[in-house]
Amino acid sequence: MKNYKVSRKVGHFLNHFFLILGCIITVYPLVWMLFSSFKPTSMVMSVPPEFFPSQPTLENYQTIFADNIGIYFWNSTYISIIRTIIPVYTSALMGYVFAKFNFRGKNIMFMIFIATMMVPWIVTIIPLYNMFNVIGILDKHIALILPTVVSGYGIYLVRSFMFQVPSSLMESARIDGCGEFMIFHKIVLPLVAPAMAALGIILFLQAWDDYLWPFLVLTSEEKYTLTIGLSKYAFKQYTVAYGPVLAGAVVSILPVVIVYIVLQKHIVEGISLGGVKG
Amino acid sequence: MKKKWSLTRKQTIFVWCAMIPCLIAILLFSIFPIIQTFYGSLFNWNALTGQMTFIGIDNFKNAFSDQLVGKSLFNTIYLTFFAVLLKTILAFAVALMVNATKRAQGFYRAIYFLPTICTMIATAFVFRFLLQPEAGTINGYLQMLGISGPGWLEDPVWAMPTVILYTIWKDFGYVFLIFLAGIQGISPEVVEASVIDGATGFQRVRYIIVPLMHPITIYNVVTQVIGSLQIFTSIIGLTNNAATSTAGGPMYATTTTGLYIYQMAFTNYKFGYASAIAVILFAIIMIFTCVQMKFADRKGEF
Repeated sequence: MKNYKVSRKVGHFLNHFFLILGCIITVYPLVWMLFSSFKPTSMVMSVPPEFFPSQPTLENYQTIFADNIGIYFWNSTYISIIRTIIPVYTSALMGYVFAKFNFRGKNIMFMIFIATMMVPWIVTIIPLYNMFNVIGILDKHIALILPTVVSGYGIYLVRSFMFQVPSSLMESARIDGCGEFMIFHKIVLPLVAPAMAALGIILFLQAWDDYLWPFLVLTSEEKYTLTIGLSKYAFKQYTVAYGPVLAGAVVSILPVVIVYIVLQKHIVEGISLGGVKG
Repeated sequence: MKKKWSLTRKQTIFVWCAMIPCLIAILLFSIFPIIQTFYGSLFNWNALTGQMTFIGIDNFKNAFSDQLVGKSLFNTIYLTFFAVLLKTILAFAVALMVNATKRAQGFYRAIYFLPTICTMIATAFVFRFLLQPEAGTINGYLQMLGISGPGWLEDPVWAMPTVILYTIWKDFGYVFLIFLAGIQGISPEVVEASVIDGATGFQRVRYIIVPLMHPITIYNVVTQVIGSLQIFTSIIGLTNNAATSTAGGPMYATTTTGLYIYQMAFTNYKFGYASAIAVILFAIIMIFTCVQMKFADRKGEF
């Protein structure tokens, strides 16, 4: 019995030991980024490597803020917010329609909407670029917003929550003479607010991280989002300005990490739900 | 209960008022583009002039004899196979380990998930700098241990394994989180019953948890495979060469099919040819997905 207890303790210790080792590997690149963003460029790559900045400086941050990163930051923020609000709303609306109404062709419609979730970018990007070129909205922020107004994933997620809304609530509102849109906005939406919040965070993070499409359509500098501004800045130089690029990386990562720390529970729930139910 | 379509007129109006704008959006931004990609793959379609000349399946013939298409498909499948395999095994093991701890589960979950939410292009740059061959930090530490580090992203042999390393670091948290949620969703009675029956820890994992996790494993593998087959942003971040402003090097060692399609379409302006390669990759993605779904069905039966 004693042996068993000892081996159990050793097991627990080893378990935590490996898990903490894993945590260090996970966090190390991010910590390195943060510390190195305060080093002068010449010290980022130094032999032997130094972990803490020995001569901490803010010059990297000054450089990138002089180089318009403030504008990129604002572009990313407002575009990501729009790219969150619109699909969250359409997801709630469509989720409600697919969960609570029976109409001809419903299943096929649902399948079509869900299928859009799985369409790889490779088969849409060329015609989409061509279309936006023809109607003249390349290099405009609307080009980033339009393709994301409907989210198949979002419809799927909110719909599964809609089943929990009791239909009797809607029935009694109808008897009271409430219009259908009124019922949706005043009664149903508040009840699924947690699901919408979880979805909203995920969509915001996706929009913030979006790279390929904005990289393709945005050409004028003042329109860049943060990810594009950062990479164009890095690609501009033959010898990469390590310090400023790392400072830019911190500026692009810090807000999402803060959002993550504050809203961790919702994010984890939203993502686990999508996976486990799917 | 007989009337199945029991909508009043008002409700019907509501349903279609809600549906039509969304339907138009997906028709315009998803369905129409897919059709046009297939259609355009049969044309010599010049991006600059917009001129389209019908050439039948010539684009596909060219694609099959294009060595770089073959190379890029090889790279893509190489990356997908190892990245997904390692991510799945590692994430499953760590999910079991975290599930076995009583304390600090929330802490581990928070830390392991952190890279997933970080901006991809920024983390790719961080990896690139860390793994810089001459003066990078990782090789610096290796040197202190007396090991001369590899050329990482600048060595044709090491470049793809380095990309795989990065994607494991980046996506591990997501796969792990889904596994952990799944393991915690297993009813405790099932596990307790096996303990009473005298199952060892290993037996419990092998004969109870692994079979019960089968659908979730398939879900994870399918999403990761679909993601890996289309990889783009990480490759740009890790390998884009500032001097030549092309990615996918050295010596095309990290040119994936997604990247090649992009380059054909938007650097070489061959929309038709790029569409044909996109159709080929799309077919591969569909075949993978269907095979894996079938696999899920068969195993899910007992």
